[in-house]
Amino acid sequence: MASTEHIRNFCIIAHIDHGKSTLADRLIEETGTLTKREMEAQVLDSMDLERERGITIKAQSVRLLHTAKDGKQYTLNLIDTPGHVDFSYEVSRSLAACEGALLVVDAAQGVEAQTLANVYLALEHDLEIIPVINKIDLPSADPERVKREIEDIIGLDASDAILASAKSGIGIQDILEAIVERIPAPPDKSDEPTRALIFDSRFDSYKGAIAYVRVKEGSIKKKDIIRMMHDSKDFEVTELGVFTPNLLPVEELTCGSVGCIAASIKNVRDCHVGDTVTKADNPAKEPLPGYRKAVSMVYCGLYPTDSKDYDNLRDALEKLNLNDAALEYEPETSIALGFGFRCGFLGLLHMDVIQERLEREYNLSLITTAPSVNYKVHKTNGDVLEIDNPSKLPPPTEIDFIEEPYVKATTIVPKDYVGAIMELSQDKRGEYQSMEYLDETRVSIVYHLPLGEIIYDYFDKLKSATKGYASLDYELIGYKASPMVKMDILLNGDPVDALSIIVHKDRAAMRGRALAEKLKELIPRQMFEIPIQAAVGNKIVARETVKAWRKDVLAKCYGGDISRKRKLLEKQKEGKKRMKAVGSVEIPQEAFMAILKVDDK
Amino acid sequence: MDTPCVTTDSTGRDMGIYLHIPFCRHKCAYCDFAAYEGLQAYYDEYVEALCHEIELWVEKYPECTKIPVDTIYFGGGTPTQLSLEQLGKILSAVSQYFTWKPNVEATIEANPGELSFAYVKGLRELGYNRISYGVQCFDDALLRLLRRGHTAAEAHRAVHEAVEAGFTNSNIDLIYGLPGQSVEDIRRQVRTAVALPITHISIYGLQLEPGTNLHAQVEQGRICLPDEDAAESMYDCMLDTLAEAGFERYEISNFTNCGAYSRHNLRYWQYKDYLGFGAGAHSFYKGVRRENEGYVVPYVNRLRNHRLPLIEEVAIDEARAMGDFCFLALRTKWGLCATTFEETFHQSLEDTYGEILERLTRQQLLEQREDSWHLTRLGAKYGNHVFAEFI
Repeated sequence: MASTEHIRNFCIIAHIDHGKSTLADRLIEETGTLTKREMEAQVLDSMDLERERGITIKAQSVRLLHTAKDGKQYTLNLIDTPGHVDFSYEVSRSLAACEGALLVVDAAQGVEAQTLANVYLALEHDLEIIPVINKIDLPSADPERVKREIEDIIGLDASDAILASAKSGIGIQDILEAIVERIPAPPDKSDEPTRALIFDSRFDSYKGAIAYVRVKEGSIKKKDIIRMMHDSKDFEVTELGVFTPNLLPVEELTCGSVGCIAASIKNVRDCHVGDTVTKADNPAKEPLPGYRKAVSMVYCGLYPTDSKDYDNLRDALEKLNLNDAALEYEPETSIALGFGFRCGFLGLLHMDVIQERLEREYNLSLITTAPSVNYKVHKTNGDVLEIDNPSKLPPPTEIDFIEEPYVKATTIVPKDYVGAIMELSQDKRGEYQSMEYLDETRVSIVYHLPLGEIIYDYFDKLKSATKGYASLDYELIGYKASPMVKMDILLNGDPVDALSIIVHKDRAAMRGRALAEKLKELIPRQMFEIPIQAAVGNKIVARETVKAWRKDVLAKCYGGDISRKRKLLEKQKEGKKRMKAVGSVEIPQEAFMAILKVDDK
Repeated sequence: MDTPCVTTDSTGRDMGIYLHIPFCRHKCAYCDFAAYEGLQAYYDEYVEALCHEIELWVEKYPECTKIPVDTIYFGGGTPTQLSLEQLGKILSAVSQYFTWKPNVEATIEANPGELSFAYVKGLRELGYNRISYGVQCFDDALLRLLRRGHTAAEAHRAVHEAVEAGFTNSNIDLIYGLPGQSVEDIRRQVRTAVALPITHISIYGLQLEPGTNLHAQVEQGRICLPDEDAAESMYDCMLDTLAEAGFERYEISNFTNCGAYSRHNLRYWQYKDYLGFGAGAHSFYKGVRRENEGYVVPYVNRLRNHRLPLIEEVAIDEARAMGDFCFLALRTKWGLCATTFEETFHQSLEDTYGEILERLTRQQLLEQREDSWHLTRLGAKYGNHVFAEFI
């Protein structure tokens, strides 16, 4: 029964909070894949962190069995997609594994920038899109307006959009039927040489790296020798399975189906998302299109607060890396912080998530340096260096010019905030590209912005400037020459390499002042006065001073109350935790991220 | 309660007794201590309860009566709110169970301007041989602002009357860092103080405690306290002026011009035992720290029901005991003695705190002289940072 006729592969496209996870849960429940009792709320977001943040970081998939109105049983493969701009490549691979998508739009909030970006991606992959207007039972729901938005903004026919409330279980059967009726079955190419797209991978300590695949052509059986086409590495299949959502072993993954492959693959890096699996004895000629290596956009240094934890940090990074090939890291040394790692991330969220997992799951206390982007430094001798660590920047005399990465940033906001967006974007050295009224109230604004400004405090600023109504999407568009300089921070006269930043020449003084002020707030008083200086080259652009310790007030000992004295001392001691001694100065962890917290005025 | 780490003086050479009298004619603006005004109606009952507490304690820990009492201290509040008769009653209760050492130090705290000469003479007759006056400052405007209820002239008279009544050992308390005070004011205050016929001075920085009248006034911006730098200059000036006058600093905030150390207060710093009776009193006995109920009525009620009025009872474990021992010892001029430490805890000071001692020495906060560690002058200013290292 190798026919693809009864298979439907689909994903759900939704903005954060528009109800993707709830809808997935409801579909799982409605098809009896799991009973209500078995369901943890939001099955698909399996990591604690994902559940807390309401986002999906790693894609998952689940097989649903649905008996349609025509009386036949269909296999519906729901392929989950990560829902954040940092992970757009992963999203595109998941989309490539599907024939259709449910476009979930909040009945009150309407279409958001993020959704738009993913819909365009889905359209690029020729997916059949079924609009679902969710949360229609909200008092503020306005499905007619949202339908118009879908038609006007996205250009999709929304006349047969399904009205649903995943929370209340409204419209779920309609959605299941629409998946069967409107999404095409995968083309039956069982006879062609095998090609399967890896849309996700994960590491299992017993089975090795596991590839999540969609079989596009041919089929895969146990004991087959498979080949990763981009790496040209061969492995013997030890296990095949589908997700129900628990792993259910199967003998074969047929054409059109979705499942996972275990093949004693030792390293998740041999199992790249986007790579094509074929068979060694009858290989396909070409891999599937669209493969690209994950590119790090944001870099920072990660150091253990206690240098004794260096090995633990390395082990933890290794383990995380098993599941997350997008995480890059290499050892680096800082004069101030000792031994640590330079890490590359897909974006700020990715960075946050990794950092939090290291602290939470591996119980590490970390110092994170301010995030940086990757600069192309053209030296006077003609060499071009890629620099993502400010302290590695060569001396100015050796630099001809520096290029910084730029992104195309699309922001959708209610029209009242257009001014605020423009002001913010100009302030962040943005170059205006275009503006478009999506309807009477919503505007899409496109700017080219330096990525370095986005990772600085752009999101916070955007949120406060637009009361949270803006949604932002960005993609890397290339490099541009900019007059960038390195700004050093000197504490007690000594430069602290981990506090250096690369900054636009015209903003150095302003940012230096703000940073020095912030550091003054963050660095606790110590035995001696500590001058804080921000310097570009030999020029001091800002100066602040952390005063010396407060002198003791001569205190009365009330009738031998030693416990009270002790409590005061304990309180004082409390504040000394989580500090890093750099030379003669004790620096709290937050200080290394101070640049992200300054408020430039 | 856990078994305490066995400690120093519990070997029982001698002991101190503290009696808390939580009454005041009126509450001072800066006070957040167990001291209450307007409770005259309770004085008799309180004295009775206090005597009963001693009785109950002795019933429970009869062995403590075998330890001779070296110091007794009536603190407050204002102990002299009680009549001579009431004080006498308390003293007899103590005498009934405990034996005095021959040269017992018997201190009573008092406020200037509240006592008749006859009363002061009466105190001497009851056996008190050390009197401690809450003088605070010699500036009438500031005294009013602090709601002290006495004048500078009354302070002078009180100190002289004490001498006349036969007190050869008297202390005055001073406060610095008062609203509007300048370094010059402090110099004048200290010079006035050292010219008096006294043997001892205790100096405290004004501390703004939440809930006090002064705190509220500062919050409302009606008065303003000297800033940190000014307070430091006052501190420096004070130390210099006292040293010039021949007053030796033998403890962070205590000075004497004739070796008249407050033996009772030294017990606190030298990790020796003391029993505390009365509302809000603290004890340290055989490695256990105890605290009494601080409010008068509940205190009296508990004793009426024949229960000890304890609200906290903590057996000090070894780590805490060692920390306490060190930071308390460092407050005094005798410092932290390695030999005494080892005798007490059966491990060497070096092994226990070597790293900390070395670091603090490098930072010039501590210095070693023979067998002992001492705060440097800088270290004395940053005492809390030094002490916290041992916590």
